[in-house]
Amino acid sequence: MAKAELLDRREPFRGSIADWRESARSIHPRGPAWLNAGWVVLAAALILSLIGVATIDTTQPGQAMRQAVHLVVGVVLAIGIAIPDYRRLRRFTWPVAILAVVLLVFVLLPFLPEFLVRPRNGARRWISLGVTDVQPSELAKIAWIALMAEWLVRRRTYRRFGGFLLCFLVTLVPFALILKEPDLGTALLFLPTLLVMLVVAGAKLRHVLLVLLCGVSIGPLAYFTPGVLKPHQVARVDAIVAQFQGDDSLDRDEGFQAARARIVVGAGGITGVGRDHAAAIVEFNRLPEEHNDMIFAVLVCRWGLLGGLCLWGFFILLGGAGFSVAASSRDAFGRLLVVGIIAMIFFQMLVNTGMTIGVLPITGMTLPFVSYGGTSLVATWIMAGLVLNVALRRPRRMQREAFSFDDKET
Amino acid sequence: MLIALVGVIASILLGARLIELTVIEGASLRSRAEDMIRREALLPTWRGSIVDRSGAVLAEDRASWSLAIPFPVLSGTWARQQAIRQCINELGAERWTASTPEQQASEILYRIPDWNALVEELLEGLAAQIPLDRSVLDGRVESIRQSVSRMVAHVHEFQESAFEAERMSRGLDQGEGFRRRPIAEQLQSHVVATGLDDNTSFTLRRYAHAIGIKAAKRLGTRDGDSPVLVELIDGQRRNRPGASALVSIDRSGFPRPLRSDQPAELLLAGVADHITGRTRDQVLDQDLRRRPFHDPTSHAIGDLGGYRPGADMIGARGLEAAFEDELRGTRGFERRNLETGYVDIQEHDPGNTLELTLDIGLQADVQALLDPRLGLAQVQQYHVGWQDGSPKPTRLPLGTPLDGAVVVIDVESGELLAMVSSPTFTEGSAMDLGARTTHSPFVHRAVEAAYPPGSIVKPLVYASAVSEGVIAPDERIECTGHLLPENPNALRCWIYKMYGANHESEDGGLDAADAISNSCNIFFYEVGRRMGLERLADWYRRWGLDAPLDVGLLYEREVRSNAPEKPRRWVLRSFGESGGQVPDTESVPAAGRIGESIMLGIGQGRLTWTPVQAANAYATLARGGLIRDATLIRDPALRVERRSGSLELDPEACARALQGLQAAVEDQSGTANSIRYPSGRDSIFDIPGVVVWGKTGTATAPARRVDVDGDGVFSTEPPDERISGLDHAWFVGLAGDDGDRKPRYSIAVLLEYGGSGGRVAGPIAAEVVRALVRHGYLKGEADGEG
Repeated sequence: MAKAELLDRREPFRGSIADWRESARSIHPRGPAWLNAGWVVLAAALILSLIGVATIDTTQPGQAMRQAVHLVVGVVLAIGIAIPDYRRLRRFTWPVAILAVVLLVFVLLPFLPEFLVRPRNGARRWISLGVTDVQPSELAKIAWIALMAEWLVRRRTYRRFGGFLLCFLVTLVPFALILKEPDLGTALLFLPTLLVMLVVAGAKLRHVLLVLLCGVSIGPLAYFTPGVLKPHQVARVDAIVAQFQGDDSLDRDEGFQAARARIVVGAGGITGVGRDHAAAIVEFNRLPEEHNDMIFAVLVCRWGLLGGLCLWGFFILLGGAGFSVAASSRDAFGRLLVVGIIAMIFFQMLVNTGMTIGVLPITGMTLPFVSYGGTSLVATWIMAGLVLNVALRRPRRMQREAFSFDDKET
Repeated sequence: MLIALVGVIASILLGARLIELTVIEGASLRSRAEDMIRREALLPTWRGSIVDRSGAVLAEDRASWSLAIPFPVLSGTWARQQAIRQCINELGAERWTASTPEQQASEILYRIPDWNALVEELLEGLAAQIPLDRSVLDGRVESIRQSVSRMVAHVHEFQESAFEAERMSRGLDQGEGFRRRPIAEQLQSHVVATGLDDNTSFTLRRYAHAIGIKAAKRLGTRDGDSPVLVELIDGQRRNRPGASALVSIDRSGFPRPLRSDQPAELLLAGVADHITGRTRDQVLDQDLRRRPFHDPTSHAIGDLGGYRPGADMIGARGLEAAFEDELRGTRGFERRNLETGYVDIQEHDPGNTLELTLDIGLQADVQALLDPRLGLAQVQQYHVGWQDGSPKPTRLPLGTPLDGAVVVIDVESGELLAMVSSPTFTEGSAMDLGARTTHSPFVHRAVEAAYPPGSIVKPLVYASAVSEGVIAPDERIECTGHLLPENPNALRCWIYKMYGANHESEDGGLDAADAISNSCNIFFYEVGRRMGLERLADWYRRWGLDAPLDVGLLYEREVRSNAPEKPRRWVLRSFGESGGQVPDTESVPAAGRIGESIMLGIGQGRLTWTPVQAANAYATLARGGLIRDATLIRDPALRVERRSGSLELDPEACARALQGLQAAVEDQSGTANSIRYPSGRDSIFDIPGVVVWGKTGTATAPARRVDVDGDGVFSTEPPDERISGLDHAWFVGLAGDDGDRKPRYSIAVLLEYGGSGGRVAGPIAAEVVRALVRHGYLKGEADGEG
């Protein structure tokens, strides 16, 4: 068809202003996309949280009640955060990130009075707010994921090696501050999450593999170079090696927590021992942090192997649904945000359950949604709310598929 | 894709591990987990009592508590550790690890005094509530510290040399040095007080708990984490109510120089201690080997009566050791399910009471007779006599205490009524080292020490020879002064040796009764020659020599051999009783056999026996050969299998032997008749209403070693001395009532290096007979005499 012909066929615009608006609306999405995988994420999160409440109830009925209250707060906040379009919230990314850094620095200030920042087990992670304690590192996680999403959307430099490394440099800020608390476990979560975000953002695979290789080689180096790891960290690694070698000699001191957890997990068997017996086993085996970091042990003790697999099943469901939300979102920022959140939750779950069953060294880390802890639960629910938020938004018309790079471009 | 792959691999890894834990190891881990729900506790038991024939308690036991304090608390290590924990808590782990060692040291030093003060408060409070003098408690703590540090030095030295040897043999480089790990004694608790009752134990526990909570608060940990500062462990206390006795001895029948109208009052200690023995509180390797509490392979509780490393009460000597398993009892066991509250109790089983044949009153009196304070068991002038009115010189200085043993057996039953060895343990513990070496109180001379018998075997040899048919019962043998007509310097009769005379006799020689009463050597040389070595040795064995009688004190234990090889082997040894020695025919060269048999005829040569074997053989003779070996144990079921049957002695020979023994006491020429003093002579056995049959023996003894310088070692160099040419003094006899003239008690008295059997051992035997009368075993006429 010739160009002139096309121009002739052009219908003159005869409509009113209202019609013009109508047509503009058809370019922009009309209202939320109600049918989406975000609800599956939310449902999985709710089930996991309820499992958590039930598991906490095994040994600490009072704490279970408080956790239920935290859960309500968390769900309300999640829905609240899902309502405004995340694309509008996006502008708060930088302020929130700066606030998180300020808070992280705040807990480390040495002259703070004990009623405000009270060290527990020698770690300064919590700010006491009277009603409840707040853990700035939880806020930092969300802020950092959003910031990285923003960073990766705004800049394309990460597809070059220099820019790729720059991402790690940015990550170093929360990483170093949290490491200083000290909370090595939480700090280490940032690295695999960043890698996943970079992969999704389309970073060069060879860069990713190079960093992975470095990470793998730094581990042993850190272990064998004196002074890098703290004595208790070396001891924990030693304990896990000894345990795999069938050496029980460290079970009394260095490997105490791991050994106790292993026994409690194994006691569950295939179908578990039930609530009361599980409570007795946990109590008399003196499992430390049983409603917190070690909750997975209690869960397996009570509901057995089936309970454990079930829990993993819901996490996998949550992860799968989360990635499907990411896949169906065309917005680069939204996709990265969801991927970062899901990766963070998933890695945290892997590390926590892994250390409980003695595959990884012990490090203080909660099981997302399940472990007792107000800040942790509320923060994780806010993450879930953000995922729902992204899922609810229809893509703008004519929006390009995110990160569909034509490699010639660079 | 990549992310999904990583996720799948991670999930499979975790899933596999979870399956391994729950399915494969599930059962064993669950049982381990459930073990923690059960609390298992041992319930104390107590050791059986030892009582005498009338039920008087010789040793008894009370279950009680012992207070033990962990060594770190005593050594100050605990205070230091707490100070470090406090530093970390207050400064934060981060700052703590960042600070320099000097800063750390000063922070610790700043906090240690508070913790030391807490330990001080603990010790002060415990001492006040036990109650125990603080200085006594401090002394015990100090000695524990010292002994542990000695042990640590020793163990580390040993380990380090083993480590170096290992390194040399493996050719390892010099990289890793030897690490001094704390030894078990540095970690476990040590007993500082024993014998606490339930109330005290409860108070102490509560007090220590309060201190523990104080410590926990100072650290800011929860109450449940309060440290264990004391342990109260079930212990036992052994009381020996019969061991000390106040006795009053009538001295009116004593030899003239010691005689007095005033009875002697003596406070005795350690009565029957040689028999009841001793317990120790320390468990040794040999105990753990013999009867372990934990099964050595599975480490489960195997034997509730078994031994655990650490403190426990174990029989170490005497009956306590020989009847350990009988007396010990078994602990109870309590398994409490903390979840359900269900309690499963296995009751303790206390040890059995051991009833002895001893009469503790008689035992005490007899022990008093052997007490040198009374004079009878001391070198006295009357022991050697006087020559023309002036005292003969004594080989040992006058007043030298003599060690010895006395045994009293009931002839009818073979039961031991008294068995004393002197010196006793308790006396011994007060002795200085030199005196202890010379007069070791640790030998039970009545059963553990074998002595050459000398002439006291003569009636036994005669009865054997007649029963064997080598001589006729009424055969007479002339005393020629010396056995070999051409050699007057060998094989002499004692009377020829001392006076150059021979035993006078009518009708062509001495008959057996005369030979026994005069103790003629020539008669018994001849009998020995006719018997020959093999038959004579065999007869000695039938009389009960050459093997322990097992009166109840014999026991076997596995101990480390003394052989130089390493590791040392375990060998089975028997303890508690000796069997003496009879020459084995094979070991004597053929040319020497006749000579040996001649010597054996008068109880010389390679022949030894214990006082209890001597008394037992005389009791057998008095029963006409019926074997019923001496025993301390009343309950026949508890006695080990014993010899039975009869020696089938010729009845006429027995009658003549007894006749000779009676004559030895009653005839003026008898060896056990009297003691001469410058002012006249006194009968030894001047006891109305009682018949005594007796034989004296003066047996050549090995050289006596004296530890003059008191260094605890016998040296061949001066000033330590060897005094040779001394004799052991024996008296063995029988006593009965005048009415039926039946021997009822067999008595053996031995005094080491005492000299003359008649003059040294005789008066003591006479006092033993008087004691038998006093305790109602013999009727006597002491009352009628007024």
